[in-house]
Amino acid sequence: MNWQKLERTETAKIIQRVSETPDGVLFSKSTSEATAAVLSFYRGFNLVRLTNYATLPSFTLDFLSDGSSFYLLDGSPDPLNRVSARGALVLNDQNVIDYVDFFFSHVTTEEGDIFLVRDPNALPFMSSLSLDQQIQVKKHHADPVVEYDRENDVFLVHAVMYFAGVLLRATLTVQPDGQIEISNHAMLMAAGGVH
Amino acid sequence: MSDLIAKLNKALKPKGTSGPQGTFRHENEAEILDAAKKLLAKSHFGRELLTYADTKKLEMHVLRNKKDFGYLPENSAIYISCPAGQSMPPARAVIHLAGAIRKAYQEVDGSIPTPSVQVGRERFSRQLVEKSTDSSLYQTIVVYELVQNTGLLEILDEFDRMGYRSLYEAYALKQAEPEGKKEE
Repeated sequence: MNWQKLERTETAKIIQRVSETPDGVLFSKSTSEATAAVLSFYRGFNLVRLTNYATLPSFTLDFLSDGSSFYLLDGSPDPLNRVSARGALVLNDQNVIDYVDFFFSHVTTEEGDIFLVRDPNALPFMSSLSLDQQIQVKKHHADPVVEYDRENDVFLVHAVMYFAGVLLRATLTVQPDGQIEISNHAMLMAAGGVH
Repeated sequence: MSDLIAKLNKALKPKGTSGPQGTFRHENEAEILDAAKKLLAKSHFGRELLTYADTKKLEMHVLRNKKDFGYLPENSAIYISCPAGQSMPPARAVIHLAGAIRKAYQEVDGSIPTPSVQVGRERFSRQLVEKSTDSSLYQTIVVYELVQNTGLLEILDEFDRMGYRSLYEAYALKQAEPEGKKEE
């Protein structure tokens, strides 16, 4: 993620907007910093991160923002859906994998986080797997492949995923509004062992 | 496996539980905190932590988020988090609540305050590790006591998910030692 630190005045404006909430105290102008990153699949919306360095560990909240509206990334698909409903999502075969990766990075489930495996060595949990499991993850790895289904106007991403301790290959159907559905799954490695 | 994918697909669908602005608080904040406090009270150290929070009038909140939080001195408040639209099992909430209250104790009591970078790199790092070790130890003791007092094994799975299983095992082993050896 290519984060850019925002100017003090811009940071102050964002904190002013966020401080209108009951938990505005989470971020004070003197101890907080705002950074932003451009996302290739959003038009007019950036990822904005507010961090309060006065505490340890520091408090961090991420938002999708067009400068006036701030959609808190709250672990559910709702904020992404709301931004998409504003017409900001522009998917193409070049950015759809980045979108899926972003979606899984910010949406979590009762069973835990979902990982799109783009580089097995970069997986945050890799070191917690047994050596045998690490070998299996690397052996089964294949780069995600994108296909456009013209008839249904959807992107199909064929990829390896890791979820709830299970490594699987699946097809992710990505709708133009950003909703994702998983199908054609095949287990590559079961939870706690090798399939 | 198909059940897992069905659950996953359900989780990926928008639920309409969160708003763009207005509040960062979780929609089930009151229920999550109530259940966590009731469970925490079943542990001796947990009761001490709750008494401390009451005495210091610490606010407790649950934010809609997937990242863990802690103690904010500006408003003497403890924050834990849970993704929007999800329930937070008491066994998970109680671990985070115990850790957050202990972090508040470190700051309010001044026993292990947040270090300043001006103290030098080595001391800064040492104090950071000390803070983290202290709150993890309290979480471990609470988990151990809840397993002993209530038989709640689900809390071990939650601790395992946090990567702290080995802390529990080390503490449980120490508790199983004869009294004389334990104090060595």
